[in-house]
Amino acid sequence: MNIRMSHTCLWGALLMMVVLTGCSGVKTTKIDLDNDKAGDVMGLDYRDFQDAAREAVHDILRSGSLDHPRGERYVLAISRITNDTMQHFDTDQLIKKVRVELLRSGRVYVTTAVGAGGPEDAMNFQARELRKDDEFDRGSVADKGELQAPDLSLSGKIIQRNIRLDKKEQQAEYYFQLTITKIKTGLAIWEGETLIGKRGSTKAVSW
Amino acid sequence: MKKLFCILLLIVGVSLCGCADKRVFLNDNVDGDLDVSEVKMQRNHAGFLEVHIRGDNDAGKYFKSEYRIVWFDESGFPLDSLLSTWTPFPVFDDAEFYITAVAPHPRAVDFKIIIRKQEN
Repeated sequence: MNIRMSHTCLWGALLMMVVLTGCSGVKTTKIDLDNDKAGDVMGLDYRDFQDAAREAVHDILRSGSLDHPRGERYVLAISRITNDTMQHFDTDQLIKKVRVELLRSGRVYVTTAVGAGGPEDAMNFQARELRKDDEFDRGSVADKGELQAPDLSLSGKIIQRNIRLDKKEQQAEYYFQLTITKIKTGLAIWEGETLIGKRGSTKAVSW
Repeated sequence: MKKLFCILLLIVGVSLCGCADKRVFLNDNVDGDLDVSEVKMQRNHAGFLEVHIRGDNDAGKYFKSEYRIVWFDESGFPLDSLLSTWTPFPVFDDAEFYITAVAPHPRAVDFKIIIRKQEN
């Protein structure tokens, strides 16, 4: 009797495991980035960065701010972009999209030799150290005075404001603010702000 | 009877001309709720092609739509760009709607646009 009971228990447990394994796991799928129909989240996701970047690029290209009087390309440096939200993300999720589009537009070059926190690509300077090394062909090492100083600077801030509407509902407002400054004069030649607002349950996390 | 047939033919003709531009596609889910009445293209002072589209809301209520525009260079190749992702725009009750899109590169010479109702 005991043996029969334990066999039944074993089979029961096994069946339960199979059922639980089959039911509990949500199937992993790749996001269709071109046609994502998934509902919104209270926090920021890739669609929000994409929307904010697209709006900024659209506005910059329409404004004519990047038109060089001699038809040349401006040199653009990426300055400080502050994440002033309650979420942890790299601001490059926004800025990379913007700079890629501006570079592709043929209106600017983006410098990686100058940045708010030092050069973005340290190799700009490390490779110049090779001037001291006789093993390297002199002609292939960058000469002094070849780096281009930036004409323009891109800076910005992402702000979050949370408002509790009632016990069940909250509102999260995200402001994407960007500015392009002419370095010589310190004057802003373009400024833009994209607001993304979301409403949802107070149980949903927006940090 | 003949007169009625002519009038019907005229109505059908006018409604078809409403979106005669072959570069503009209305998705099936629009289902007659909006129509495009004007498509203009110009090169702006910065050298980028711009498209202005004007249309009407025939649904009698506010709804959100989105468009996806693809830009082509002189050889007919599409230009890959963030500006070619789905872009939402409002269609207000009993009002015209407007879309203004700018090309990502001065090389763009033509475009195709698809408009659909936003579902989520």
